[in-house]
Amino acid sequence: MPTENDSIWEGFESVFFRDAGAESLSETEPSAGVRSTIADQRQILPILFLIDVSGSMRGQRIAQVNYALENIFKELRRRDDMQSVIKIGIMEFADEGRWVTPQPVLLDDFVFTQIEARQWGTLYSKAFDALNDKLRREGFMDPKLGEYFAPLILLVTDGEPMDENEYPAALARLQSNGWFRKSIKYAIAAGDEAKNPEVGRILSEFTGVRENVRFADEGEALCNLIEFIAIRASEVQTSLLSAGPQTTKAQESIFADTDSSLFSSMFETD
Amino acid sequence: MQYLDFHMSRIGASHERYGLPCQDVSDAWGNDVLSVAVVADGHGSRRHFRSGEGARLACEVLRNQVTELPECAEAAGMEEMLCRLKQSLCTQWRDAVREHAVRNPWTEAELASVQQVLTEAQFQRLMDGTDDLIPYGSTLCAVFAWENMWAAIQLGDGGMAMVDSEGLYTWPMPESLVNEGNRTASLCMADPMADFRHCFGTGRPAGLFVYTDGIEKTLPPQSPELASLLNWMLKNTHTASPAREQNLTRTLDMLTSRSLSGDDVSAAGLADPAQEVHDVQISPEAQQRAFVRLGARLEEIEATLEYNRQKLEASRPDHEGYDTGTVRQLETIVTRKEQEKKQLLELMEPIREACGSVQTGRSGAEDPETRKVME
Repeated sequence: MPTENDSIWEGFESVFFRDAGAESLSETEPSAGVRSTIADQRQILPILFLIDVSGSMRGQRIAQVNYALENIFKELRRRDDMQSVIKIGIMEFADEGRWVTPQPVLLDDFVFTQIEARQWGTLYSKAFDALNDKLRREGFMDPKLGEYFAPLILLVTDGEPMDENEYPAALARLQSNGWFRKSIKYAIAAGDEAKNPEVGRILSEFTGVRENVRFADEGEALCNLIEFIAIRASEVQTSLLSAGPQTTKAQESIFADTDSSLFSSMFETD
Repeated sequence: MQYLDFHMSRIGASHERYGLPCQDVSDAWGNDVLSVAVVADGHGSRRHFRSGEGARLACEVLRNQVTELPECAEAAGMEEMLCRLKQSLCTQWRDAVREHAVRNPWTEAELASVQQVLTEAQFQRLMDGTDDLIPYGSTLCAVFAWENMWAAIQLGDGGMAMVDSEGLYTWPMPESLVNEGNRTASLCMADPMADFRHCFGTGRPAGLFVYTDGIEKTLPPQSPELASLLNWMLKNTHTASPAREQNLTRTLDMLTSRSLSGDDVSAAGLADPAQEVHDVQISPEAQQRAFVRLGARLEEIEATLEYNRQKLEASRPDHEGYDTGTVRQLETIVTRKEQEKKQLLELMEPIREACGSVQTGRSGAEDPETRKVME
């Protein structure tokens, strides 16, 4: 049995602490390599951006999206969040849904590079199926990597779908996905072409909450709206769970104190 | 021979930063008849603004309820005794909480704070007493040992472990049906019995431990690292050193300072003075889980490396879009991830050898690495 003269730290042989010769545990530094294991005990908040890169997004619109995303990542890095570790996923969609990030990337390991618009039209079904494919344990939600907050998903689009016959079924498949149902979803419709009932209806079905569908004009409004939603929603998402279950009041208030002329709803006449 | 016991709770860094008290409570006691160790974790959010008190009441109620536990087990059998104990704890806790709430009505400051996070309907239910338990929400986890028997109960997150004379660490408590993400089962639930778990056995373990989830947020659950920490606590309890308590304080303070969650940490346990554990082992199932978890981490690092290497390749001077700032950032990330990969492989090697050929089947109970499927 150990006595006063025995080092009580002898038994603490572990990959966690490597300095076996330390006099006291407080002098022992964990191996630097284990720090990544410790960090992963926080819950993971996936933030997924679905960006329309169809031809009509070229020019000012995609530039505003890029500018907004750059600012978002800078701001998220600046915040010190003890409760969650943020992982970023970016999907570009037009004629196909393509994940720029094959797996969500830790914010610290993510360098944003500019998104380019392409020539093609907008096929929502491709985006929905690509998202459905990843919102599962074999995709982005691997339970072996830790526990997850419900993802935050932000979709940005500027146009009507060109796959009216395909997207309803794809959306239905997505809506039967448990992770998608639990996710917090926002959608931004940019530009005049997006101001039509069809787009509004699809996006409100996507988000599940009409309040979470917003319209942005050209220019700064689009950039500001993207930044606002991503930052504010990520704060609310992690603070919601800290505040306890069923705190729907906090969830609904993301736009409560904002200037409605800046962040106009798609459904202003309601 | 009576078990030695220990218990300690330390405030988390984030609680200190926000001026909150420690909302973990721990206790341990024993005599020739029965030894007990318990931890309770108040939920700590604004909605659970008296959860520290709820945790304290949970431990107090337990102490009053278990005095005749061995006799009850003898008379009714372990299964029946534990079910009655859990039911009684839930009922007595509710009574104790309601009594406390009557003697200490909600203050203006408490109501002003909680109103910011509740809907109108929820706030009304708090005021009319329908949801009077929620502010006191707490988990509860306890171990008991007497003669040649041991038992444990658990409601909510945190953990319970035991070690035998060979140094084999196991985590026998069944998995929760509720604990998921940042949620936990709680004494303040409408039906806490639905997820109030227990386990028991014969024999005399070398050690029994309970700890709150602040420890699980620092070290991987059911891992070699956690087993080493518990074994250190076991050895510390055995030592005759007067610095025993100070050592425990320093260890938990160090854990919470290194933890990125900043949560309170608590641990309590029982150590058989007649059994000395030297070599720490974890069960093959736990070793396999540790290996699988590290393997997933390795895959993630490799995917991140590949992703950033490709971006680096596309950012070279001879490519369109060359930017020195971006290249520098990417190079830094790639170097860092290569280093992490190397260190992770070093970590995995001893576990890989211990696992031998990795089995992918299950040993009976549901694989604790499996979380509720969301899809």
